[in-house]
Amino acid sequence: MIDCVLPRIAAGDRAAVPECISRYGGLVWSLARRFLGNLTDAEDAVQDVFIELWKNAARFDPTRSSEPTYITMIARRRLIDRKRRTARAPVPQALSDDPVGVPGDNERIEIEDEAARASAALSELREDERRVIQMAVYQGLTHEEIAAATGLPLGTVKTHIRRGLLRVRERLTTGGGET
Amino acid sequence: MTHDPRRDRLDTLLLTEATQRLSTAEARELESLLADYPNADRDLYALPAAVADRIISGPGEPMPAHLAGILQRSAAAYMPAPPSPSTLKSAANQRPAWVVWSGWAAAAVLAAILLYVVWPKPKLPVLTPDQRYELVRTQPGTKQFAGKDKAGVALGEVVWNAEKQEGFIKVSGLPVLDPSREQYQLWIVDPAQKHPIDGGLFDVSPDGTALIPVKAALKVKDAQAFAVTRERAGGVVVTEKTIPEMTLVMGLKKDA
Repeated sequence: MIDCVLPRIAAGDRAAVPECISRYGGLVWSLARRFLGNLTDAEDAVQDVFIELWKNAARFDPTRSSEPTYITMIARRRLIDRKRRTARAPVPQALSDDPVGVPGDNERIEIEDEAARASAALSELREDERRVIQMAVYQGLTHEEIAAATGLPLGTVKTHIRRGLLRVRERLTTGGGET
Repeated sequence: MTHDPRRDRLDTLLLTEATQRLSTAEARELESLLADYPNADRDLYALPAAVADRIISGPGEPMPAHLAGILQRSAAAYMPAPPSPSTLKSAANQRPAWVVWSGWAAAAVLAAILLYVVWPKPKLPVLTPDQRYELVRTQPGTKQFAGKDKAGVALGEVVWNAEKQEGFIKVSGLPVLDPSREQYQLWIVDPAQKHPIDGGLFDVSPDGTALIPVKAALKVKDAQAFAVTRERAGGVVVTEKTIPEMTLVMGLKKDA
């Protein structure tokens, strides 16, 4: 497992701040851009996410998830909330500045290991189940919007999402835990 | 096995929360159910949704450099205080020397690079809370807010600098609460937000006073007022208190 940076943030280690930004800035920025589209909104949202990380870094439990997954979860919660409030459709825009926050090799290996297990779980789902998961998780559609788009009953949509996410969860739990 | 409809409802709300925003009523219902089922896993669906998101989305795009500087500055305001030198020494003694030294070396290089690029000003000397309150109060652009409770016993004052997103609240005359059951929670009224913004939890000293920094959970665009409510220990995401039910409401001082 790569050295986690959030426990150091929780301990008040200021030297961990640039490392945390360098490791996960790109991850959070990409999520914000996808969820919100608008550059200004995305920048505000990234600040919200990192403020939550600075304040609640101690809540990260490395026995439950990898650090990038935990940060993705925190970011998704914030972004889902913000997206519904602003109710704006994503609009792709050009980058405005020099980039930072590209994952390193070690980080990528850890991410790939966890992702491989989750990917295997998703591949075991039926095509319509996978599609519903993608629409809910990646495209951020509501359950009602997915039902309207696919023609599936609302109950079936929820069942597909529940089943798919539990399958991923089980695979993460039984697949040997975190590396 | 006995069927529990409230447990099913909790499961449904957790599933909904993992992929879409809950309504205010649903959010309250979820918090209530989680309190009733303390062993429930809040991240049951949110965690696999996060993993699935990363699988589907693939490699991300880099973040703009100027944003890193903003994040760096926010860390100083919101991170826990650094440990004392003796604590650091004790922690370092528990790890192999090469881990300690390589970690510090890597951190030092990274810190030096980012400090050179983005650090806006020299680190401030350590100040007492009173001194920090005064420092914020006297900064250009700082607004002052004040208010009393209905009985006129409890007083509250807030200084808030919107540009720096920094502020302090000073209260007196508040009853001491049992922090394992109830805590005071600060709220920031901002017309840009649907609900008041969480400004942080606090407890008062035995003499009923407190002087603490404002810890805004979101960026505050235009603070119109501050309020204090009594909430359950650990606080709430959205307060259910109406204005008459609030412990203190602090409006903008006219002479500020």
